Amino acid sequence: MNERGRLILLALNEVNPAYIQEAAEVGEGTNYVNQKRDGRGQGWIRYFATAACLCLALLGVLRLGQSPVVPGPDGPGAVAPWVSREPTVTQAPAEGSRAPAQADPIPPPAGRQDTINWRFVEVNESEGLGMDATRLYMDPALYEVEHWDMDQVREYFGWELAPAYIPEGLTGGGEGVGLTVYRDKATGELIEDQAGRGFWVDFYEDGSPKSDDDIVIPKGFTVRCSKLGILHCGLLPVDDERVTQFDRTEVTLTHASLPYGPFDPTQRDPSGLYNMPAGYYDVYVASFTLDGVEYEVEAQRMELEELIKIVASIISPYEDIIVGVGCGMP
Amino acid sequence: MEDQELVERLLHREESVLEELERSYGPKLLRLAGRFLKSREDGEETVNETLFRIWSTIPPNRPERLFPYAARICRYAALERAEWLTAKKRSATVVELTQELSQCLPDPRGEREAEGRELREALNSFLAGLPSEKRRLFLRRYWYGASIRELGEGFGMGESQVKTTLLRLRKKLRIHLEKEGIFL
Repeated sequence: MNERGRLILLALNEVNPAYIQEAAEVGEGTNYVNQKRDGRGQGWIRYFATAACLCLALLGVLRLGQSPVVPGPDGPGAVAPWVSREPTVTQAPAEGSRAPAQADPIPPPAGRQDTINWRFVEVNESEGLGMDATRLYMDPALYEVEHWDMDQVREYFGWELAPAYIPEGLTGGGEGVGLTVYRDKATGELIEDQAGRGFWVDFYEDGSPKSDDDIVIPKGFTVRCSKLGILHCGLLPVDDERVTQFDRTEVTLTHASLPYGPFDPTQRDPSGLYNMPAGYYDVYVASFTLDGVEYEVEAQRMELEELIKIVASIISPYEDIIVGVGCGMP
Repeated sequence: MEDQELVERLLHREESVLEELERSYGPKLLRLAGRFLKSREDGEETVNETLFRIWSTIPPNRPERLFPYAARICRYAALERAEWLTAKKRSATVVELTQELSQCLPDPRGEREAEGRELREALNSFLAGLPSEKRRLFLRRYWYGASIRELGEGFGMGESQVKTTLLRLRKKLRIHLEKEGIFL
């Protein structure tokens, strides 16, 4: 008889209860496919996402080659340049919204203590920004443009992209969340719906982020989201991408070390790609899907732990969660 | 009723909680037991036994998630009831599942050497590395005992695609176990 199979069948009894629960929630007789998308729509989105990535990468490279480097409203490569920035609209918290609509830092819920099991936190290392790009042109003859305000964003995404946890010293006091969507004139279908919101250490008068020290790259983070497929940041993709469990949500964490100016034109950096920079800063990106919405949270000049806390507070605003679920953890 | 409330009532030895447990989890546990057992009577006995074991083990245990806790007890009880451990009679489902999973352990000698704990940890890390959908597919098959046809319907896949996906997952598990030093 198959004693080896028996060994595994028995050992499976003791696997992480979270996985058992996860599989149980897809009951018999029900369709438990992850929200499948229309194939045609995906093709479009992939096309635009690829073009946007390349565009953002080029913009990032061009900006890194200059001094001083001043990121856009949400940081380098944060939001596609064709996504408009509407003026902040201050609203009272909406019933059922994920977090109150406000610009100032929101303290974490009292008693919130997310557990980080570092042993099972997986961080992918990216080589940096892409080196080629092309600008995406949205032909007005084919696509209709709509500018959405905070109310529409809240109605569409269910919240205003303000996490329950925002690290001390950061504020959303600059420009608020805004969204430009593109609609196919022929079919009336939305083809792009990416929104973004930044939280930074300081802001210029025009609402763009500002550094508070000698390094021209501001500290802070951006939350981006889309139901149709996110336009990824310009970081180069990683082979054999690994994920980290935030309770039952899979999150891909990626790190890159990027150069900042001023750049010394008389020397090359060790990679040979840039003039010698004044130094390097950390960028961490967390990507995940929640309630059918794709998210990217990009943090620059911040500790990984802070990014993890931000993401945990987005995934579960009012409950403690365990990050990096693995052996021996519930 | 929330899991934590049920656990609290168990901790306070409120017997009425058993009725609540049966109402909340009974049908699910009966379906789970039915995967491994031939008769409904056996399934119902297993559910009763499961409820008794929950009552006997909470306290001292205090599970954070009650359903996985109950389902684990139920699954084990069902396998026991299927006389699985004594290797006398086995249901067709159990035989089928063990035959498939036996391909994941390369060498039968090691089954004596493999520590159960190591195997469990290796399985956990294997599952942690799978995309959610594949992990659910794997566990629906090998934890809950779902049939290929049910998986095909549930996951929107053809039966041959389900079989191919499971075959690849088993191969992946075998490689993972080897990497973890479980050569067997």
